[in-house]
Amino acid sequence: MMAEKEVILSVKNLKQYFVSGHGKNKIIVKAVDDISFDVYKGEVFSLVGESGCGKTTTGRTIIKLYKNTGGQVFFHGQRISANLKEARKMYKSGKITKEEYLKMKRDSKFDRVIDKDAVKRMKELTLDSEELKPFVETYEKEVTEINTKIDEHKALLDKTFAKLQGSNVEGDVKELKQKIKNIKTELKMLQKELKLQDKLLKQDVKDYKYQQIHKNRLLMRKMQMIFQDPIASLNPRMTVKQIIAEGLIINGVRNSKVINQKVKEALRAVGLVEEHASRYPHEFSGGQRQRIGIARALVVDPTFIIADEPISALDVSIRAQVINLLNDLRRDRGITILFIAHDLSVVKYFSDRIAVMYYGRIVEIGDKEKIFRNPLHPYTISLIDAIPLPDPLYEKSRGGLKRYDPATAHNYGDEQPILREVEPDHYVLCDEVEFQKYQKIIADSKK
Amino acid sequence: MKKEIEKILEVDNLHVSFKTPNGIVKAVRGVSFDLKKGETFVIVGESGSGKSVTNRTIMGILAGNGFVEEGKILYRNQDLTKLSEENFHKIRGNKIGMIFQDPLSSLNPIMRIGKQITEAMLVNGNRIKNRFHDLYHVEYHDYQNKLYELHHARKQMKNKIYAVRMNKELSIIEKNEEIKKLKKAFHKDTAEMKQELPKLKKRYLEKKKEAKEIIKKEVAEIKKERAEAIQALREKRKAATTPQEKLDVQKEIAETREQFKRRFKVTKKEAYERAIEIMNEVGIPEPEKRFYQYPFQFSGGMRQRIVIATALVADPEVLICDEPTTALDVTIQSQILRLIKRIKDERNLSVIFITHDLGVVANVADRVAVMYAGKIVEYGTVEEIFYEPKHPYTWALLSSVPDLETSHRLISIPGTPPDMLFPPKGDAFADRSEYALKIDFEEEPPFFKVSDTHYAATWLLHEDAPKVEMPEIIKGRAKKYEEIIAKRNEEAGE
Repeated sequence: MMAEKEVILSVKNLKQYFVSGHGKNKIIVKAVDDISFDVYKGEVFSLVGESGCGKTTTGRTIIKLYKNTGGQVFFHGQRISANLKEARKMYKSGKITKEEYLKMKRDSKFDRVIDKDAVKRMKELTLDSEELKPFVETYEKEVTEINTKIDEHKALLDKTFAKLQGSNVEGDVKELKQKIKNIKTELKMLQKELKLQDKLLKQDVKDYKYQQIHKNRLLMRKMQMIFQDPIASLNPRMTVKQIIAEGLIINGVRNSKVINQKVKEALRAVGLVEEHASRYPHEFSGGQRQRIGIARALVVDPTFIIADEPISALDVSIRAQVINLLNDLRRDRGITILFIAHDLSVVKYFSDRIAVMYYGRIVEIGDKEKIFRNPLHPYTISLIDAIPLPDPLYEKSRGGLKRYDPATAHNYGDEQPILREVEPDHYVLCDEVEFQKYQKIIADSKK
Repeated sequence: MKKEIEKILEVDNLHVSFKTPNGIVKAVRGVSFDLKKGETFVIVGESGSGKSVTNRTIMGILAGNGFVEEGKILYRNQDLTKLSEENFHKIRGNKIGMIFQDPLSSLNPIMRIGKQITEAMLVNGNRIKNRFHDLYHVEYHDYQNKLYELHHARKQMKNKIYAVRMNKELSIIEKNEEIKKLKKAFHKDTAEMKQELPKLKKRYLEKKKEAKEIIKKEVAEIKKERAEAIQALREKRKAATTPQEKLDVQKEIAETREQFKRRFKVTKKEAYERAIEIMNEVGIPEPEKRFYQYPFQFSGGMRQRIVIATALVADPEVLICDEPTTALDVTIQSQILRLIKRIKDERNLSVIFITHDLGVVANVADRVAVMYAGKIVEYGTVEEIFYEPKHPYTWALLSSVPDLETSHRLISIPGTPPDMLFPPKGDAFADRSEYALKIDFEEEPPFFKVSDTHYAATWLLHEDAPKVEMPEIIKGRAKKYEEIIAKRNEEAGE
């Protein structure tokens, strides 16, 4: 069967509550209530649901735009998000040791934590040390080349001086003086370049040290987000280059050569031209703006992208372009995508696995094919039924509306529904009675 | 032969442009269509194709820098493009209603829902005043239209003079001569008009006087009737013996008062009753409670229902829906579409529906027009557009939408729509089309007839053009859906 797939993102019991008001008027909105799922490397995982079901909040909590109320998120095996209150409670009740508690405490503000050992080590580093050797080596060759050139030029200079002193003919003197002048300017240029090489080396070393110290922050940068509204998500006062380069600069890249190169690459990857870099967002059409948004995410080499309804605000003809682009990125760069959408026909086309959300909870999760072949939860059925399809005969022969009403659809007694596996890689939120029913449906469909 | 269905609205060769600092943007360039009674006419197209502008022109709510260059919009033999603002009040909202895309921004956030629904009724609710205006309506608007015509002619003359002044090739003397000529021509053309004006004004004032007399008489009559009725009831009250009877009579008096009040104007109670009725019709549960709530207390779908209710209150004949479901979820979308279809059938409304979602088109449409770069490129019945499309743009649109079975790479339309500051010569879609012929870049294609109801503007239909088959995807899709429908019918039969 399938080989062990690498888990890139793992969400465990994630909760996100929003509190408003005080005392008597306190209202707690459970936007995301205890959800868990894994995302495997290289796949497209879709979160589907109506607006207000918490799918966008989930995406934002994962990338730490919100502080989560409970639960943990693991990214590349690293815990990137934990809740301090929860950790304290667990520690007091003796569920975790003090060491673990401290770790959780640190992870609750994961991206701001600096590696203290690394700071110490970096301070002691000098250019001779083993760690920096590759950097020195890359420049050594060029430096020696320039040095030999300088020597050659100096020798030439001495020679011409000697010649000048020896000669008396007027024409020759003029010529020689001109030659000396040329050689001197060239020498100056070479010395400048030598200094530049020195500067570049220092810059690289600085970058390396930054990377060592801010490992956590850089890990967070491997996760990027694309937003819904291509107009609102780009700063109108920044040029495209500034918008795209901002992520690099925040990451500690200061070398303008590198920045230019990376911006160019990112623009090319999303199908824009280098000349676009100096323009402003309002000069682009909706589809192109969304491409800029994607380029901004791509420039820091992410392994994981959260795409929050990237095509909902676009026109039909441009939607296809953006979906194709995302598909290419996934294929060429192996980027994993968490796709948040409410358009099921696009989700069906684009993703590998699907989670259907309803009021902060996942009601059905699993393989795309399995869910679309056998939608089990009544909410999923109503969602799939509501998709408008581009065919008049089909649309006009539509039957009655299948509306999901949790009060009448389920008959839960004391038993609270949990996610149960009805077939491999297909889980449904149900109680024991429903579970039996669903399994029967699956068995029937296989006949 | 089938009986001709009555045409309600006719748009004829409409050109709409916008003045901008960079030049004149030609948003709509010659759109013609007609709307028949009781049908749903859908306009599909990308954003910027001019579909919203067309409908805003019909409603008379163009932005300040927009103007109609050419063309007519005929509604009951009135040309809406030349109607004065006062005249438009009678039509906008009353005869032609509109539903906008974003239900949140088309409702006032600090006003209760009930007030927003009843507002129009109460503001236009003075029945005596309305009747008074109706009595001299024709004469008054004849006069107003004449005034407007004169105003329009003067404006045009001024524009011409401006053009002469800006002409750099003429000397000052030549310019002055030219301007003199223009002014002379203007005075000559409008002399007749100016002579007619006082006559019209006199006629209108006379009619107004007459109307005043009539209304005065009517009001006096009503007042007399009321006094008599109430007097009779008061006597009845005096004659009453038990307190219960007295109370009943008291109630009766209040009711008659209300009834007579209603003959003067729309009372608040009447408006409330009507609003509740409409809210029930659009499917808002517990309308009595909802009447006093604010927009933020409603969900997106409910808000859109409220907007529909406000549009329906005045009993319009034509309903324009400008992407009413784009901001909504799929499940809510299907509910709203159902609602619109139901209302249309019940009230025999004619609906103009704007959208870019082809699934929605398939659901609601009777006839479809595909718009691109300010022009209709193809129109026909839904079946014709979806099963036998002829224009390359329609092909591209249809094949770029994934459905539940799609697994191949999506076919996207390369490039972007043209800049309407400089509309392209020839077929606007030629740049992005793989089927473009040489002539497409030079000459605009006329409409070629495919069937009685189906027309397409593409040179591919010309008899000399090479035969091009439509893409396989569209062909395959029809067959596929037939199978799906058959299967579903089978299941339903079981």
